[in-house]
Amino acid sequence: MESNYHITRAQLFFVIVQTQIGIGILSLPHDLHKVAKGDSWISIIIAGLGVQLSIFILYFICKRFPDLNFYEFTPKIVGKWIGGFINSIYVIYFIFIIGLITVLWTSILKEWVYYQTPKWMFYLIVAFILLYFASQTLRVIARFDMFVSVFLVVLIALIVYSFGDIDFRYLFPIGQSGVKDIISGANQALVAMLGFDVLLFVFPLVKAESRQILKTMTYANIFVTSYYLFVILVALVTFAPEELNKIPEPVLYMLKALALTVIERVDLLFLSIWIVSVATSITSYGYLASKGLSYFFRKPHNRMISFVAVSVFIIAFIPQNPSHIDLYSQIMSYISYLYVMIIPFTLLIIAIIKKKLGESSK
Amino acid sequence: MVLFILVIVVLLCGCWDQRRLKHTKFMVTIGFDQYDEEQIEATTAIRLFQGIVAGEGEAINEIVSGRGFTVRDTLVSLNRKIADDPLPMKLKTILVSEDLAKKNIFELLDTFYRTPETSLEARVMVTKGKTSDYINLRKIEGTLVGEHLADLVISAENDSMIPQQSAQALQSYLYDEGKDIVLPIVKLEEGVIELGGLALFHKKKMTGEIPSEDSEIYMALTGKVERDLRFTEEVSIEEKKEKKKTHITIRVKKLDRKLKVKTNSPDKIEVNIDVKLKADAVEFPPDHLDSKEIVESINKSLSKTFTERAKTVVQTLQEANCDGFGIGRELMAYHPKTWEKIDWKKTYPEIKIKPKIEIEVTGGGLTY
Repeated sequence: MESNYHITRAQLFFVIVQTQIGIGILSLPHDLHKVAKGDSWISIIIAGLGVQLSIFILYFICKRFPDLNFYEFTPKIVGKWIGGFINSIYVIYFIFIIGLITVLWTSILKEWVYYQTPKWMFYLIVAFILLYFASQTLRVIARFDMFVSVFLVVLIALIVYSFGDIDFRYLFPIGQSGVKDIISGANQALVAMLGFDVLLFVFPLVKAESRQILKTMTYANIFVTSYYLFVILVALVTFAPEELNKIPEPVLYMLKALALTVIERVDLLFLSIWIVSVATSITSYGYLASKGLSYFFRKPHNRMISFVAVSVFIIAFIPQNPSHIDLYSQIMSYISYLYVMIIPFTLLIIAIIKKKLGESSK
Repeated sequence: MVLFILVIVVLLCGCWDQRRLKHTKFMVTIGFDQYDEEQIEATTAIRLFQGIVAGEGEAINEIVSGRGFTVRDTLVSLNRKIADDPLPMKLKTILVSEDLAKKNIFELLDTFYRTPETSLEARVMVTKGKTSDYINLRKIEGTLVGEHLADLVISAENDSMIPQQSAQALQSYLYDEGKDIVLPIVKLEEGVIELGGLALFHKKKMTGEIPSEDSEIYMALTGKVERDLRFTEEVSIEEKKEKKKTHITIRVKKLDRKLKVKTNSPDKIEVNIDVKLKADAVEFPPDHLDSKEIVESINKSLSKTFTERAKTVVQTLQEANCDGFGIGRELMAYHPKTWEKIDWKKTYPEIKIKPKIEIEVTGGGLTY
């Protein structure tokens, strides 16, 4: 492979961070609070630990095939047919993830700013993002991710600036909601943290030793977890518990009461920056999906992206009302365990057993 | 080529949600009055420019009122009377007449919370008398009434005379079982609008008020004092064995408040509010602030009168069943077991709250 496909460790960091931080950040405090209440911040830490665990799993499996990506090594572990099957369900999964992001993105934007703009317009924009960005090489995507990470700082700055009447007593008593709710809160949080699974596919493209990659992944995870932790803590101390249950996008709501000298509606400013974060998530998944398709049809991935774009455009029309969207995201959140933990873990076990058997038969 | 067409399509389609400035009118303030048993009346001031060249014309207010059963309803009826869309993006103040506030303030604000275009920075205040009387003043001292009201409240907030608030912060309080809102009251006297104390709420209803001379004491007790809180109070000083009465004005430099809740059983809740004030004397005509003896006697006398006044304020709050200090929240956070057993709206007026204000005059400004 030519060297200009490779990315550096720093670029890996930003690809992971930008894929993870996206659609979830706006509604995360609300979703978490519904289950874990004042202990949402504990949930997010637990979710961070869970992510770290699955990063280890992903890392160990990737380490066995340092020159191959997931699509290439599954056939080696479980054979051509099952491997092909696993690869195809991954492609479908990625397409549906993009579909979910598109649907949520559209509903938030329609609710907050564009009441009259028709849905297909948003879907078209997503399709355009896919066609334009996801058809690039990983290196280009990584550079873009790195560049727009400046915005993450801007988002935090806006949140800090909106600090108003805060009350730390909302956090007490610690442990009020009990272990069960905190764990199911962590389950909610995990959905927002998806994106680290990108590692499976970009591992061979990173110019670094495998241990270094693990380190970078850990840093990325720490960064994302603390980023979310901060956002959640701010939302928890700003809003009364009852209120937080009623506001679907607390982060935006917080900014609504803020007026800078020249900008009256800071929430709109925040939204337009946040759109970029969502676009980067869409790009990453689009890249992965088209990459998967390119192995099936043996064509470069930038040819396959139009297929991804069209399918996303169609999928996005399926959920028609909020309860459908809810169901969609629920299903995706449970399925994602299968994809980021169970399948990689099973593959890892099979690979280990095969190696053992291979050695003993010698 | 396909890509090119797509780009064009994307770029040309952003015209659904445009709002042209020339077709919009911004409401600066809106007031709600009771019209009859069922209907409410909304009066709004819209900012317009008179004159040919934008920016050079004189700003004027267009006053429109409409009636309806709900707030949205009144806004729709307002819209019928205004040539363009009245929009709440630049809403600075929301006025609620006292009789409406006594019914349910949340009903009036609900629609503002639900729609994304409202600026939740707007200040909410309670008016003595009809809000339309205030808005119909149009201009006060050359400023439009909406802006004047906002300035009045914001400057009072900065001087810590009234609690910091915005429509958004209010919502947080309304949803919190362990806290109640306290809003500024404005009153109209001989064509002049002035602050007239604080309106106390129990949840969504106004249930009492603190007169304006005591609002600073209330603020000191909440501990949320930013800067420049001033008090003028009579003191009795002893100088060369001679007792005399005079007045002093102090400006708070540092305020330290501790709220302690002691509870052993649900029916025995004791609250201590200790406020320690460090202040500069900004006006003290009798002079001699360099004498330790005089300063001591000022401190003592001030602490005593302030504690007394604080007691009346606390009593008023309890009578109105207004938990402005967030004692309920304190119980929820640190004494969850007690909280579970009590019915806060019945318990709060009964609990013992002991306020104590200690004042230390530390300096006399630029001179002694």
